Amino acid sequence: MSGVWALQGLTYLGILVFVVVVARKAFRYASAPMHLRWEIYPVPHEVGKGYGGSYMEEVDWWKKPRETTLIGELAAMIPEMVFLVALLHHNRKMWAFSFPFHGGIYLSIGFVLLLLLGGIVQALGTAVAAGPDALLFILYWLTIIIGVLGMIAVALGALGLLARRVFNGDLRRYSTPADYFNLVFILLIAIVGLISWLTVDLSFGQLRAFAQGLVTLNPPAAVDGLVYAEVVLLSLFLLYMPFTHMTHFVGKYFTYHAVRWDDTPNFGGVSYERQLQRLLTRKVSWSAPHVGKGRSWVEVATKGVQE
Amino acid sequence: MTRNPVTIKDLSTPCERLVELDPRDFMPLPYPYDDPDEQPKFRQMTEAQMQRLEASLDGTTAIQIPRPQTKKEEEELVRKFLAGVGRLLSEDDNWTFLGPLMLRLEYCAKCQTCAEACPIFVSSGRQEIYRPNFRSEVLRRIIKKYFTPGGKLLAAFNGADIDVNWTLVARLAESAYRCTLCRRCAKVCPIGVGNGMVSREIRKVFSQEMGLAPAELHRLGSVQQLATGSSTGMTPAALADNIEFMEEEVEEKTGMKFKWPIDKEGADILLIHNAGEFLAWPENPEAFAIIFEAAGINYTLSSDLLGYDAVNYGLWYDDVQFARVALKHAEIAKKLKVKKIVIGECGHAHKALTVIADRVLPGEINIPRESCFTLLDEIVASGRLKLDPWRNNFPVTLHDPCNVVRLMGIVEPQRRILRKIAPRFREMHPHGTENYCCGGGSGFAIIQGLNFPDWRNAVSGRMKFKQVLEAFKGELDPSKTKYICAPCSNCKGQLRGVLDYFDATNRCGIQYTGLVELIVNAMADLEKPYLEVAEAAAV
Repeated sequence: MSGVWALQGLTYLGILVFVVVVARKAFRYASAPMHLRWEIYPVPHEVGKGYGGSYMEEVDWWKKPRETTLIGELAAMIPEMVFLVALLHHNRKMWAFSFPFHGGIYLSIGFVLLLLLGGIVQALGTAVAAGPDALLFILYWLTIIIGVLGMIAVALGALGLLARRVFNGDLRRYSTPADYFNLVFILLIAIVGLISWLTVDLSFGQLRAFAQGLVTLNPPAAVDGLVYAEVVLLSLFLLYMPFTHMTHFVGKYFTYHAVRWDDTPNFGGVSYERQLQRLLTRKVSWSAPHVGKGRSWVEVATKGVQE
Repeated sequence: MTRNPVTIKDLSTPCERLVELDPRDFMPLPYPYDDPDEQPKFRQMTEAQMQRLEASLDGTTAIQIPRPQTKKEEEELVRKFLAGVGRLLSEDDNWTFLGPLMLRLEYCAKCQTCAEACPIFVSSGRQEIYRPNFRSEVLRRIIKKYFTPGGKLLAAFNGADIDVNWTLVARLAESAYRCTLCRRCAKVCPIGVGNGMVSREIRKVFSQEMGLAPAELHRLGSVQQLATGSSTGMTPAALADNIEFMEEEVEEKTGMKFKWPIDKEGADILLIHNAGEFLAWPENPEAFAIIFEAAGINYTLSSDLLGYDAVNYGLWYDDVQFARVALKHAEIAKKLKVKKIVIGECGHAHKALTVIADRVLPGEINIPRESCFTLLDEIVASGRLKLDPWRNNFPVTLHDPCNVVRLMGIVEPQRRILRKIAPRFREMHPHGTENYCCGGGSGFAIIQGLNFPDWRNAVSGRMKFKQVLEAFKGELDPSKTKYICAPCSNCKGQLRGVLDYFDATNRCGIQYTGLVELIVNAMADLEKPYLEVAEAAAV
C-alpha cells in the first residue's frame, strides 16, 4: 500500500511540475516585450488571400476596416496540429515516422483521459466493464483500443525516428545525446505499457484503478510491478519533459500566432504608445562605437551617429 | 545527403579553408549551361588576401575581417563576441527581436526540413556549411554552454560541448553572410521557427557589439546615408542635378516636358526611390514620373537628407542603424505634410518602412506607408493610361522580391498589371510566396569585395538563374529579347551580375527590367518604345 502511495505521490508531483513549468513557459512568451513584426505569408487569417496576399495589397489599406478570419486560421491550424501538414509537404520521410509518433501521443493523451473518466465513473460506484450497459461497454472498449493503438503508434514512430537519427548522416551530425535519450525514453514508456497490457493488465483495469485512486486520493491496495513501472516512467517523463524542447506544443502556438502570422498593423493607441515608450527608454549597452552606448533607445535612434 | 559533411566541431579547427568550392559540384543548370566543365570562372582569393583576412570558411569574405595578429587579440575578440551574444538575450538591448529569437533558440527539432528549401544550400551542391540550420545550431550551442544555467555541466548531454575560439567566431561571422534572409526556410519549418532571423541576429552581434559588418552595408551604407543623405553618397545638390538630367532625358525619349515635383508641401504622396536607381537605372524613376504625370497623381519627391533614398540597410544587420533611418524617413514625410509615403521599386525598403518600422514609430510620426505596386495597379486598372499591350510583345517573366512578396504579402497587384500589359507573360516556378530569392538579398547584391561577387553569382544566384532559363525554355534564341521583370533595385543589381557572369544576354537574349518601365513601354501615345527590344521580337 505504501508503495502505491509513493507512486501516487510521484504522479501528483509529475503533473504539478508539468503544469507549472509549461504554464510558466507560456507566460514567459506571452509577456515578452513587444517585438517588431516578422510575419511570413500566407497568413491564413487574411480574408480572400489564400494565394498569400495581405491587406497591404490594397490602396489606402489603413482607411479600410481590418478584416480577419478565425475560420481561415483554424483551417490552417487544425490540419497542421493533427496531420503535421508542413512536414507532410516538405519532409515526407520524416513525416512517415513523425506522424504516427505524434498521432500516437494524441491517442495516448486520449487514453489517459479515458482512464481518468473510467476512474471517476468507478469512484461514483459503477464498475467499468464490457457489461450490458452500452455506455460503459463503449468506455471499456474505447479505452483499450485507443490505448493500444496509441502505444503501438508511439513505439513504431519513436523507433523510426530513432533509426533515422542513427542512420541518416544529416540528422546524426546534429543529434545530441539528449535527442536520443528523449526518443528512447518515450519508446520505453510505450513498450513497457504494451508489455504490461499484454501480460498483467489486458483490460487496463489496474491502470483505471490507479486513475480512480488519483481522483479520490485513495490509491488501490496494490498494482503489478509492470504497471507500477509504467506509471513511474510516465511520471518521470512529466517531470523531465517541461525542461526540454519537447514543449514545442507551447512554442509552436507562439511561433505561429505571435510571429509568423502576427501581421497586425500598428494603429497607435494608448496601450501601444505606453509599451513603446517603456521600451524606448531602456538603456542600450551594445558596445560598437556607432551605437553610442549608455543612452536610451530614443537617444540612440535620434541623436545621430556617435563616432 | 550533404556533399561535404563538416561538423560544428570542425568549425573551431584552424585550417586554410574549411570547404573548397568547386563549380563542378554546384547544382547543374539547364541548357545551354548544362556542361559542368564549362562553368564560368570562379575566382579564388590570393594567398596574400587569405593571409590578411578571415576567409577560412569557404575562401571568400563579405565582411573582410582583418586577421588578429596575436593570441591576446583573438581572445579579446572572442570575449567581445560572447558579450554581444549575451546582449542578444537581454530585454534592454534586444527587445526588438527577443521573443522570436527565444522561440528559435528553444524549439528547433533539428529535423532539417529547412535545408531543401534553401537555394544557397541546394545550389552549392548541398555544402554542409550553408545548411540553414548549421549556423543557427552553432549559436544555440554557444548560448546553451555560456548562457544557460548548468550549461557547462550538461554540455555533453545537450550538445553544448562547443569550443568557442576565434576561428569559430570568425567563421560564424562570415557564415551569417551566406544567407540572404529570404526566409524560405522559415516558411517550411514544421514548428514555425526560422533560421533567417538567426542569421540576422548573428550579424547584429558582430555589428552592434564589435563594429564588424561589410563596408558596403555599414561604412559606405547606412553611415554614409545618415551623413550625406544617401548610401550612394548622393547629396541633395547632386540629386537636383540628377533630376534635371532625368527631366531632359524623359523629354528626349518621350517628348513629354514637365518638371518633377520636389518638396511640394501638402502633396498626397511622398514617393521615395532607392537612390541607386537615379544612378544605375534612371529609366526607372523616369518611368514613375511619366506614369504619375500621365495619371495626374498629386505627389512629390523629397530633397531632404535621406528623403530621396528609401534604402535602410540596417534591416539586414543592425537594429540601431535601422531605427535611425526609419525615423528620418517618417519625419521627412511628416514635415512635407503628405498623406502617405509610397515606396518605389525597392524590396527591402518596402518591408523596412512598412512592416519592420511599424512598431518603432511613435504615433505622431506614424504616417501611412504603402507599396508602389498597389498604386500602379490602381492606375493601370483605372484606364487613366492608354495602354497597348502588344508593344510588350516579347516573353516576360516575373521575379518576386522576397521582402515584398513572401514577407509582405503583396503578390497580385504586380501580376494583374503584367497580365494587362504583357501578352507573353509567364510565371516562373515556383512563384509568389514560394519564389526563390534573386541571390542578392540582404545586401549581397551590393557587396563587391574580392571574389564575393563570384560566389554570389555562381552560388546564391544560381537557383534564380535556373528558374529564369526554365521560364524561357525553348525561346533562348539570343536575337530575341526577353525580359525578367524584377521590381526591386537589389534584385535588379543581382540579376545584372548573374546575367553578366553567365553572359546570358549575349547567349540567350535575356534582359532585366523593373515593372514601371514595362508599363511605360506599353503606353500607346509614346512615339518610340521605351525599352530596347531586339527587332526580331518586336511586332
